[in-house]
Amino acid sequence: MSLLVILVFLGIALFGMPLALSLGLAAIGGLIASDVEFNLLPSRMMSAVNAFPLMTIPFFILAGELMLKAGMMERLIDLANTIVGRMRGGLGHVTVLAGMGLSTVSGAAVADASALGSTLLPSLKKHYGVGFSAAICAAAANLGPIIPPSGAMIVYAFMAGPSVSVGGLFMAGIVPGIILVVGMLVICSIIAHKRQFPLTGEPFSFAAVFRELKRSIIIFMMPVIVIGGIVGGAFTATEGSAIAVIYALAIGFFITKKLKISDLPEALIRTAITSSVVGAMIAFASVVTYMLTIDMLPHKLLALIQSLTSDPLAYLMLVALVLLIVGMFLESNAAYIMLVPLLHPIAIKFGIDPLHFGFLFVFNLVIGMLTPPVGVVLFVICGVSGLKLGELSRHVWPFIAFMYALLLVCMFFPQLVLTLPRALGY
Amino acid sequence: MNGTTRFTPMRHSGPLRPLALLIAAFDVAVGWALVAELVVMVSIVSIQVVLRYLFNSSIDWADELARLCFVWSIFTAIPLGLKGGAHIGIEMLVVRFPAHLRSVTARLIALLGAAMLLLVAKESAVMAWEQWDELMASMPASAAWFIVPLGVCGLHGALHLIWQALIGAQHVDPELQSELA
Repeated sequence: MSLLVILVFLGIALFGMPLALSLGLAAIGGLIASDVEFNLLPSRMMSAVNAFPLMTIPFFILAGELMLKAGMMERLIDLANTIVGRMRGGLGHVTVLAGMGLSTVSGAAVADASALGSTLLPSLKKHYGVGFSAAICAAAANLGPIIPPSGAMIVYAFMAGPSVSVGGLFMAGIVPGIILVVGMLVICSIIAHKRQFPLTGEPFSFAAVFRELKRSIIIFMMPVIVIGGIVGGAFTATEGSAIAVIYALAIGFFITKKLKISDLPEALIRTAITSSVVGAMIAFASVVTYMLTIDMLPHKLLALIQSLTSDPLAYLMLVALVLLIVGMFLESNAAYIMLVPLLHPIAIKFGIDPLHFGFLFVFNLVIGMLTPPVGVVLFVICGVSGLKLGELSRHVWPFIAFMYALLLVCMFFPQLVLTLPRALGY
Repeated sequence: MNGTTRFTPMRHSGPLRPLALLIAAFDVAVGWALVAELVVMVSIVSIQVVLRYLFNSSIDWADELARLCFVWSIFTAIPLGLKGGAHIGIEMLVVRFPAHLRSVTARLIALLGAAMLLLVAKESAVMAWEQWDELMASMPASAAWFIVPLGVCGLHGALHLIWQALIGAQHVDPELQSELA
């Protein structure tokens, strides 16, 4: 029956059916094959979404939307420009640093790609050509789900159950996230020197950095309050994300004064639609997961993998390989929802730290967002830049290669991922 | 309302106009309901934090009301995502089809999706009817209100997909799709 469910899903999805609906049809195929009543459909779908922790998804999306409307992007770019703007390839560096700043409030690569592409791409293109410019925007956007808060980590923690805390997973992403930023800056510098990109931006001055830092401090206070509050136990992840929305509203209305009441309905509906894309997949996939579970697929999979290897590192490599392939063809949220309930319990059986496995899983699928043919970040940047997918892929490969190298380093040196969460008691 | 919230009636004359108007009315109602649901969710969760730290108290029904609004917001927004092409699909195979075959495939896929959503709507209606007398844990309201949005989603989503199958266009609202991107 599991095979039938998977085949129905793939068969229908390949013909362009939205993935969430493909999951629903696969679930119905499973219900018919196993003679289970259809009323399982609404009950499981509702139970899957009826979860307080999942509210963090719309809240963080909304906070990001409001911060962008409040003019946060301009301040981040100004700050980054005063710090690295004068370096060779300075605008590329600005994009990476702005992507890092953006990821501390948004947590979604697609939203970050759209924001970075629409604000920075026109100036980048003018100086460095469209290929490199689009690639650096795509790479910087991928920082979103790695640096906390992260929508992907929230979905992972929810699907993995109580063995993974959202706060712990957030902390696990900080050190690799910083390494990613540094690595991207280095790649940008190497390419800029090789191609002799022109110097742009004003000469470095401490006074200008201090002035822009003062203007941007309100942006960086948000992750300090929200993530600090969640990690410090002052409030739950859901409460923290609601506080982020209130903070963004306060900034937009009273500090930058760029937010208007009339902006709110649009932002709220966009948030609801974006969240519903994830919610639909969670709802329909929950029925699929149930069908696979009653068919004992997790046990069969565990037995199969244990017959192949008993080495945790070999299992991690195997999962990375599976996710590399899956990430190329399946949208990442669908992959979390379908694969975390199968692969996470096996990782626990292998004695792998849940936070380590969780981070590697998320990182792997985040890289998948940059790899064709189903790299959603590539799609967004192609839309903004007008570049063909194949051409963008040719320019983005140094960043993808670096990300995979870092993934391997994190796999072999878990302390890189786990030191910070352990120090904070996770 | 503007941008994604500008759910003006689909400009369509002829025999399909009543369906177009029905869908447009559904879209507007759902759009405003989503605004209200998200406002309630954010307000209630934030108020809980304030009450806990400043007044050392809490509202018993806050968690359940917030979850109810969340369930409603997720399911009722799904059809708007279908309208705007926000739900991701794999198109690498169908884009290689000739135009005619691509159009036929899109219509069939839309009809298949509509049938599935109608089944969800029907099963949700039956379940809500059966559970109507059960009360929520902390509020004097029927627990079936958690199931109702699935029925709304199924019906509204099916209408959009039937519309897309009938008109056979690129099966999404291009304006909404570009704004969502």
